[in-house]
Amino acid sequence: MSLWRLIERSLAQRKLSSVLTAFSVALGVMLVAAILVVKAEMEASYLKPGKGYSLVVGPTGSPLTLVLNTIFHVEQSKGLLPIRVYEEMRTSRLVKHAVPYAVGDLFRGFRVVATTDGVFHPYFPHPESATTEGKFSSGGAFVYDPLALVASVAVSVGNAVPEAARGAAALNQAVVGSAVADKLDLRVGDKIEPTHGVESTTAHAEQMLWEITGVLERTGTPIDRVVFINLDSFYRIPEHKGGVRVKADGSAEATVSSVVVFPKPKIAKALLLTRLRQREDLQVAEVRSELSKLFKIVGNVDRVFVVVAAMVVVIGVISVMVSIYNTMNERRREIAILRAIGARRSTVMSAIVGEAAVLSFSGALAGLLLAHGLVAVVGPYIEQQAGFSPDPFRVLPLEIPLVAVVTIVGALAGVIPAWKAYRTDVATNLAPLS
Amino acid sequence: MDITLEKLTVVFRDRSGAAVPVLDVPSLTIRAGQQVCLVGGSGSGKTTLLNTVAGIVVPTTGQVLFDDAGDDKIALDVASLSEAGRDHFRAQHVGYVFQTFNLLQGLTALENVSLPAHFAGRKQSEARERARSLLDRVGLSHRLDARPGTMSVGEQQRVAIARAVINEPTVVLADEPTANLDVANGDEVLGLLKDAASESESILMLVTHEPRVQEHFDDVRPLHEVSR
Repeated sequence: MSLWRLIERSLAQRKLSSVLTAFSVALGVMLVAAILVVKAEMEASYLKPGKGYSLVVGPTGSPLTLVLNTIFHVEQSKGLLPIRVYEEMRTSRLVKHAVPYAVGDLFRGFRVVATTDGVFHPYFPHPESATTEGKFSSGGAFVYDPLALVASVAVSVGNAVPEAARGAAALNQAVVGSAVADKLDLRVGDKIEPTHGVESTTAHAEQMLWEITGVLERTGTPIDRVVFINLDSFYRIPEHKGGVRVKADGSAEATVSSVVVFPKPKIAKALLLTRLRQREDLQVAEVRSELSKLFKIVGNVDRVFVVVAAMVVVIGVISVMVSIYNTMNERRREIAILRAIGARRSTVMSAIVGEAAVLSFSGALAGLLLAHGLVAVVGPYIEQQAGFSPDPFRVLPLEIPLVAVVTIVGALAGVIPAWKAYRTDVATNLAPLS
Repeated sequence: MDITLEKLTVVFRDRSGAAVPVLDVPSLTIRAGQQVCLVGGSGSGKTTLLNTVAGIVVPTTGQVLFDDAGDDKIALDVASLSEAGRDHFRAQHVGYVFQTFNLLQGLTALENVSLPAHFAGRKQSEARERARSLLDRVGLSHRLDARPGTMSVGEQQRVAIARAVINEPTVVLADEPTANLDVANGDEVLGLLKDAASESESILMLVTHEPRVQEHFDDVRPLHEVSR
């Protein structure tokens, strides 16, 4: 007959009260753990896509919006940039690689990004592969023809196609991210028709189809949810005429939404940043610095959530104390009997503190299970709203200390009723009940 | 071991703080192995006397000596021990049988009996084995896993007797052990109690107000003769 057995029997005698008390602790722990898991998953999902990127050049406006729009494919593009900026970047001796993005279309809820085949270059961070072929789970890159782009742009504004570009024709081709392929059951060779606009989606006036040439490997980043089309085909769509500028000399020039820039190693990035920051016709965003700003904003918000959840844990722990304390009157006789048959005061106190610890520990464990269950349940909603899917099976290292802290605090809360037990008068409480 | 009470007084305070004398025992000695029946009416201090011997009540004055009659002549004054010391002493030297049995409702008969052995520091396996054998001795080998709530009053008091002697205590204190039992059950319980105390070579101090209980004892002492 151990102390543990005494605790177990005491809890079993008050089964419903014990379960409800542990549940109140579990609710608090569930909230704390679920917030921490979602936060960790969010950080991972926002850090992972940002990994490997360096600079994004775009029209003047908010650099954070530029990063979110270009890397995370959320928010609206805030303007247009002449394609010569891309050419400038591509040919700069400070730049290793540059990729232009033109956005504005959707395909069945997934964003369409018009770009060059540079997006499949090994320098591009996602999907990570040393070869272009390695980035595809099936098929391969679309064909991008810079001359066809020139031709498409000229035609879109009714200009004659320049001599050099005559005969060049864009192929309507697309590469889809893994999530797009999975959700829409798309394969290489299928044809898709993007719709115009990111928020209000209407079909293009003229039916145009793009043939899928490849499906990208899964990356776990927003790229999985993107449809890439070749930039030269983008300007064949009549609605995109507005993205073409007619210069003073009458020639047509395409525009893009942003340019993803990968500077050469060492000092090149600093030099490039200095130069680009002096420009008034564009802005440059440093991906890492913008993301850390974002985390600061998000961090402050989730700290508030964690504090609120921690208060729920505290209330749960207080309920352990109140629940045990309220039973002390009916347990005075039991305590007196234990003392009369040889239990020390310290033994009785330990049993009460142990009871509080067991209630808190079991509540904390149940809370962790509930937290992961909650993450599994709300995961699809989070994915829909925030663009990332938290893994309900991800166990944070913080969860073990969380259980330990709740157990210790719960045990400490048990000291108050234990003190009452300690002071129970044996002789008075042994008297026969009248 | 003998038990000697010397110049023992117990005075309680009522709500107004006034002194209420409850017990005044100039001298009382009970020899090792003796079985004594102390007889008194309500309010004569019977329970207080037992609680004082058990170290549950600390006397206002006087001594409660557990005196080893062996060569060492060690005398232990329970009244002078600290609270923890009295707890330890009680676990080792005292078995208690109450009028209302006072079994723990959440525990089985076997667990109730083995609990004092756990408090006395005995090994769990040893405690359970002895509890099993004592329950067998009091005729309850078929009720080891029964909870007190499912047992008759006679069975409950037999469990309480087994619990009182599990540590082979120096003294078994019995406070009106038959008051809640019918005559047949009462006689059976008294017989078991006397036998159990005798087998564990314990002193038996029984207090009662029932004349029929006195008939079971050779040594009957009216409390008014013991206490002034």
